[in-house]
Amino acid sequence: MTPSISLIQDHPLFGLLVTVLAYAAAMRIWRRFGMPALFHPVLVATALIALTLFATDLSYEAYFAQTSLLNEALAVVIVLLAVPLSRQMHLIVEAGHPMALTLLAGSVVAIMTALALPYAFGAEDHLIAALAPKSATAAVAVGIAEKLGGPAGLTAVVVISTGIFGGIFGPTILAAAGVEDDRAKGFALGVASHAIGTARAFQISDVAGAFASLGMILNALLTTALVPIAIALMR
Amino acid sequence: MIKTVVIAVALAILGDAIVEMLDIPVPGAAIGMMLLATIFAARGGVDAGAASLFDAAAPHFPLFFIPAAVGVVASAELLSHAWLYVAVAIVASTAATIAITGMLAQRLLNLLAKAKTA
Repeated sequence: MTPSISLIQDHPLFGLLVTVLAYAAAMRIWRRFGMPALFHPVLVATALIALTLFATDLSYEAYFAQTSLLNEALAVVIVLLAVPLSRQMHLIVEAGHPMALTLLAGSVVAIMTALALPYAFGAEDHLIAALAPKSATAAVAVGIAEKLGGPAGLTAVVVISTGIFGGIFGPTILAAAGVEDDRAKGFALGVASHAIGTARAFQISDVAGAFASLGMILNALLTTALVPIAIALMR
Repeated sequence: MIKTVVIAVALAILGDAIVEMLDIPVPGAAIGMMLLATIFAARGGVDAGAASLFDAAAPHFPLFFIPAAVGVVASAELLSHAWLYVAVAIVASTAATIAITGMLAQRLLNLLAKAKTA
């Protein structure tokens, strides 16, 4: 590798540049083809970046360090979720009881369906611990899994894959299930696929985003309480 | 706008500090969000600067998760021999959770609306 290329790709902002460029290109492709789930910008941008890392021989660790600005900014965006939550507070208060019931059912379904297959196949304990909290937001899920012997790296991969799948195919699944209410769509996306599902819900509407934020937060708390019970019942 | 950035960053830091001190299993940013929602409620509404900053960022929310998604590709070997049924478990469970949660929420919201008009 020539020194001039390493001057660029080892720059602390190179990863950020690649990410934003890939995202901008992925957004154009997505809009161009009529926003199909399979061409969602997260999928296309991820593929473009993976190819770039492969072509430039840049390690994922180096790339991740070069995108830390996005990670720090995400915390600030999450704080700002107070904006849609406050704006839609009247709708949230009005829907309080239905949402409380739905939360309980959704959280139990998320944990039990995640455990059914591994349980039937007699999976190792560390895999079960990594899968059980998969619908909770990453930081919370890793905390739950580690207490039950689930490795942090594997849990993070499972949780993020869950978010990506729900964020990309969630709206299609909801349409097939006949769900038309933006409150119900958002809540389902937040409960099942945390922050990435919530990000997708804001592409539907502010109402869907607010209910997704609510579902994400409440499900993270409930999952913390329910996973140890579910695992104890299974063993 | 700058005032909102200052407040949001300060609340993100404060949230992390609170989580650290109380040793609770919640992300610090979530505590920061609740504090900001409390501030809005106390002041009787959402600050215009905060609203315009959020509305500018919201459509690009997925951008922030791309490095993590690249991480899944980079750490796929962690799944080793179990990758197939881990993948099936994720897909089947997430799809079932989304469908059931969405349908139940819609059914209950419709019941509530009917009870109110009746």
